[in-house]
Amino acid sequence: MLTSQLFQGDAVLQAIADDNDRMSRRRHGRGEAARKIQTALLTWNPGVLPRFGADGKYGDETAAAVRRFKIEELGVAPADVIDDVGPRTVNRLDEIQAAAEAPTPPPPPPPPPAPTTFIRRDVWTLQSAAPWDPITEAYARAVRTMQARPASDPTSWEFQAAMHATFTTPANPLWNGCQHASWFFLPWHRMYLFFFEKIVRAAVIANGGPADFALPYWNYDQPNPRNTLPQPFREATLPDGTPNPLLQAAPLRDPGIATGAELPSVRTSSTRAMNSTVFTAPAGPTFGGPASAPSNLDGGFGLLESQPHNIVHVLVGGRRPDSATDCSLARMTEPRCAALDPIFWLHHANIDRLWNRWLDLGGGRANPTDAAWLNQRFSFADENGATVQLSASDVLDTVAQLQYEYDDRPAVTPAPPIVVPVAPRAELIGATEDAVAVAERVTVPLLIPESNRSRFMDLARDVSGAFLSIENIEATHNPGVVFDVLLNQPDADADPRRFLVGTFTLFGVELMNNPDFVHEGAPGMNHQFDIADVISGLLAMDLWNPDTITVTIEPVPPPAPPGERQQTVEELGIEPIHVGRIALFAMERDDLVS
Amino acid sequence: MNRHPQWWVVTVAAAAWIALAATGTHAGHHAPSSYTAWILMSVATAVPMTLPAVRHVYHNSIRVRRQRATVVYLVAYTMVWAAFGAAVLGLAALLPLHIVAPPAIAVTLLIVAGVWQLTRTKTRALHACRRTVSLPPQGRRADVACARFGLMQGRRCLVSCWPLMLLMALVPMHLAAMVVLAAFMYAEERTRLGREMVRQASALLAVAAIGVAAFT
Repeated sequence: MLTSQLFQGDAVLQAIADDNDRMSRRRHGRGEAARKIQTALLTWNPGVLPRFGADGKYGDETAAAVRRFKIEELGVAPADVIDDVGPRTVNRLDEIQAAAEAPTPPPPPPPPPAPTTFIRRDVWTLQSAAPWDPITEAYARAVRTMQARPASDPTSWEFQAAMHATFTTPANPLWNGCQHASWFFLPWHRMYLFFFEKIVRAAVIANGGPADFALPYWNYDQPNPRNTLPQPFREATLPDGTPNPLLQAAPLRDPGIATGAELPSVRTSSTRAMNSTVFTAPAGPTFGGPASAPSNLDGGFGLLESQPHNIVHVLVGGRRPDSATDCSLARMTEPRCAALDPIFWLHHANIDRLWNRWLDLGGGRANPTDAAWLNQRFSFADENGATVQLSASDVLDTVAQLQYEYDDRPAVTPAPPIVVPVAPRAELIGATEDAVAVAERVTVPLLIPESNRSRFMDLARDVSGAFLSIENIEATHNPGVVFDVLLNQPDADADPRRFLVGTFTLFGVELMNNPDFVHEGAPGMNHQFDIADVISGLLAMDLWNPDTITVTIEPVPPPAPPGERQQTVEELGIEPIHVGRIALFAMERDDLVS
Repeated sequence: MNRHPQWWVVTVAAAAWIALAATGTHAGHHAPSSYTAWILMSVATAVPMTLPAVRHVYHNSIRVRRQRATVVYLVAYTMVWAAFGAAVLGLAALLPLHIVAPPAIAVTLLIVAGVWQLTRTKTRALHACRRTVSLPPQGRRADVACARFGLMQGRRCLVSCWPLMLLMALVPMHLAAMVVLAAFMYAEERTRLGREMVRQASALLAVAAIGVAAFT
């Protein structure tokens, strides 16, 4: 049965196809059937009837074309070819014609588009089965690619790290841009990671890795083993046996952390920061930090920046002797070296994630609406090495504006935050009389003047907030240990968790000391801790007394490598740091005053 | 009051401007021919620059000491300028400055100020404008700390803008010119743009020097 539209219904061609007839110069040599055969031959090969085309006459040209068709298409030996048209020729021409008449087949499906939203995943989820996962391996290979680029290339590893801060001089205008102890801390680091991730993704794709690559994050505030350094950052080699660029062995990292010591949850917990409902305020501890001009380090830290950000930097980086003036050790401890450690970027992805999760909590949590915060522009380099600028208003919605999200995004979109009018009025209640030098555990009394004794007792009432301010902290270098602050701890043996106000570090103190860096409170670092909960506990134990209130500051030995003995405070042997004042403030919020 | 603790300090600075305007010479030109005039000028120009520090002192003192601490701070801060003025006017009396035309002094000092803008010392002095001294809660120690803070800030501010203050001390000028110079110094200390454009501001001073040279 003929199937092409051209041949279908033609009795002569059907008879030939059924082997009841044939076509030659003399038989059916003129007419529609001959024209149809010629047309089909032209479909097979448009150049086969050059002179007469489909003229409906079976002449020498058509006979030669049929002969050629039989040899080339049907595989008949030239000696056996007869130049007339039989069933095999008609049926094959019918197939070719039918295929040509069929509508154009749809084009092959386009390659799957790049995902519209890149997902940053928990690095410990990626590596649950084996140390390496396609994402972490792609990251490692991209780091190696970037490390091989010259430092003058904005997409190189060194250039990217120097954009945070660097010892190298003279500095490129894009270097030394990091924002700390400021309300720009969170947006600046979000922009920094966004462009870094684009550069890494371009390198990942060039290396044949996954096109949907997104930076993983390290959420250390989880049970063992997730509170230890992720495995890909401890492996000596990649799966193919080549050196692992993610490995930064001691002394580049703290010897304990580098070999799997745990980060203690009391110091990596973001609970204090997440409980705060205010991004910024004129006084007191806030989630995002105090308003400031763009500056490498202003005077006071936001709660999330202080803990876990600063603390994880110092715990992962480890001890740094005063004599250190380069990046050959304790990289994460020093802002001018920190971004050279590949774990830096996973740590900051976690901080960036916590900013999103904080907003999801609602209850009045909201980003600032001040134009000075929203519109301040910062410069970075994109994956092509071009200079690009963003402001905080460009990075508030990571999905809509930056095309990425974290894998723990809540399924339910939270209600729009309620804006709580906040006008904190901070008032000094008491303070230390002298500066304090801290090289080991130090306990100092807070002087509560007679005129403030009733206000002091009022701090235990709900209408008042209270915060402890550790002020004008100075040191030549960040010693690379963290310091616990305890309120009214009766003695060294008492359970410290009951009296712990918080933990601070000197992360960034070198930038503050440097008179040529742009900073506004320097030297003199401030850390503030909300102490409402601790006061309630002290009141219950009858320890809230203006005559006996003390503050203890204690350097904390770094976590010991697994199986090794924990260092004691005395064995630390750190150079003393100087605290200008420890002050107790009452804070009244308009919305809390009855 | 609690939100704007420096209101009376602003009033004092404004009063100093009014007094300067009221006691001016007939031609409308001012020069601190007397030490009193220098003190008025210091209060009028230098005190507004230190208002953030005044706020800091106020908020870091216990309630009953807030005004006292503010006064101690301001007295110490102004004493730095008083001492500078005494030294400058004393020296000026000894030197034969009267044989030099005031415009020549003005042009020289504007050029010096322009060059000073380019120095690292100047930039560092501006960067350190929010440095503080820790204030104990009460007693003599609290007063001493407030005084130390005032002296420290006064000295830092002097390092930052001595050429222009010297200009105002030595050259008789129209009140409007004094306002312009005060606004320039205020912008440097108190605005972000001013702090970021320290070196570029040198060009403004160069233009001013050329202007004075051409039109006097």
